[in-house]
Amino acid sequence: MKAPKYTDLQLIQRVWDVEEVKKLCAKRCYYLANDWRERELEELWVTGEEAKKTASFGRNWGYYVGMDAIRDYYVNQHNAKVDALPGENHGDGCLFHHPASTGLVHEAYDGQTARGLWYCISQETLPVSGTEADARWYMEKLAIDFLKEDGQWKIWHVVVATDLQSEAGQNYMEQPVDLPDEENRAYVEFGTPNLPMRTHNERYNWLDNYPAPPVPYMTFDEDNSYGPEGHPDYCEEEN
Amino acid sequence: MTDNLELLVERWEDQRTIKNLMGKYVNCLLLNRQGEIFDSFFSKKEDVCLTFNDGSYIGPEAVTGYFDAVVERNKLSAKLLQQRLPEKLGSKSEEEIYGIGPFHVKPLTAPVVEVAQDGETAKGLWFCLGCNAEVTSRGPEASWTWGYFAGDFVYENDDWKLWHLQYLNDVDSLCGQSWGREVTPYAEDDAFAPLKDFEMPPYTVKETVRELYTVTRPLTETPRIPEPYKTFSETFSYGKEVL
Repeated sequence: MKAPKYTDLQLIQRVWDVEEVKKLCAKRCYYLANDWRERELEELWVTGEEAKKTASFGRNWGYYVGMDAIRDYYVNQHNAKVDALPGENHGDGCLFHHPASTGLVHEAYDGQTARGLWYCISQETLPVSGTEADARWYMEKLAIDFLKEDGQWKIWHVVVATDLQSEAGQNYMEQPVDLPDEENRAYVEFGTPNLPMRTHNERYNWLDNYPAPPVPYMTFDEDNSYGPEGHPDYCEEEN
Repeated sequence: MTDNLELLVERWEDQRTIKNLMGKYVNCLLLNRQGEIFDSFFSKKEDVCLTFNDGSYIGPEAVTGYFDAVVERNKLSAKLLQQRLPEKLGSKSEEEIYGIGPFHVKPLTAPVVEVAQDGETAKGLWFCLGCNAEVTSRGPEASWTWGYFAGDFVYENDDWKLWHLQYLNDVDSLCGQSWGREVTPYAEDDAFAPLKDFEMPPYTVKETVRELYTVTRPLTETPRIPEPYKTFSETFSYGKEVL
């Protein structure tokens, strides 16, 4: 696909657009570490009514679609689970580290959207008692569609595709290939999405290439997005 | 954002230079070239500052004193390894063995860099999933070091320089064991006993800036995320004043 001709000012604006998109993704890493999930949705995600309806958050087992569903899972259910952990105050003994690296970003030639893929060597540590915590590595792809709203870049669709998880200090090779659902912390954390579907398989994580790296594109197309419609197995009739 | 073409290019180059500066800084750590860091990367300001979890070195003398001590510790580590491995290292000079042993891997990611509107200063925050292979009084041991680099930068003599730098960890824990459970330290090794007596210079200000993770630690926020600002007096500082 051939890029349109841009003026010098348009070109540097596009350079800054990619910079701002990467910065937005980076800020989300710190919001996650601070457990500022409500703030993340309020400050970093789309605000337009139509965009809020189609916003989505996907993991290996499906998507929450719409900001209300996302908030219920990402904030309300999460907070309830964290509040139920040992410790006097919310978040005592918790660590949420999902630093995004190896960013690959393409801005649409029309400048209205952008798509990015990152890799995260992550860990989450949750207390299991007053003296011990379950510290767990997560290897994840992070894919995001961004929408420009009133000149500001906002998060629109997120996919966190877990490739593997392993308890810190344990040998991954000694772990069962397929964790039972109830022992799969990422599965349990994800709850019951309003659009359940197998999006990415931890067992064959190299096979499905989901989420795929973004490529240069002219304008947004939901069939090539990180929303559910962009998944190769998405079936409109079923959803 | 401005629509001044030259300013947009200049600001983009500023933030790239700052990211490159931090890349060079952590590369010096990797290569055990701590002795080059201050002259290469730090400002000439009197209130330069280098902060760790448990205190701050403030002023050029204290900051250079810290890096000089790291160099001396590197020399001692190499010397003890040479004594321990005479067949491999015995014939080599002090210069040849310098740097053997410590391996400080501090890859930086998730940068949030804000250059002041006046172009005189900038701020940056990075995530660092690092690891240390360090020679200790227990012998060589490796640790995960998860944390943050947060810095104030100043434009000085046509170049960006470090003004205040914080390197704060959440996790500093032996590899191969879970940081969520009690960690069993390795046994002391007499061959490396001199390292037990090696002391780093005292901090200018000794205080707990950031507690390392424990199962009872409250949820602890990251260093403050830089926000767009006009001039340094209108924003916060990653530095530390001597009261």
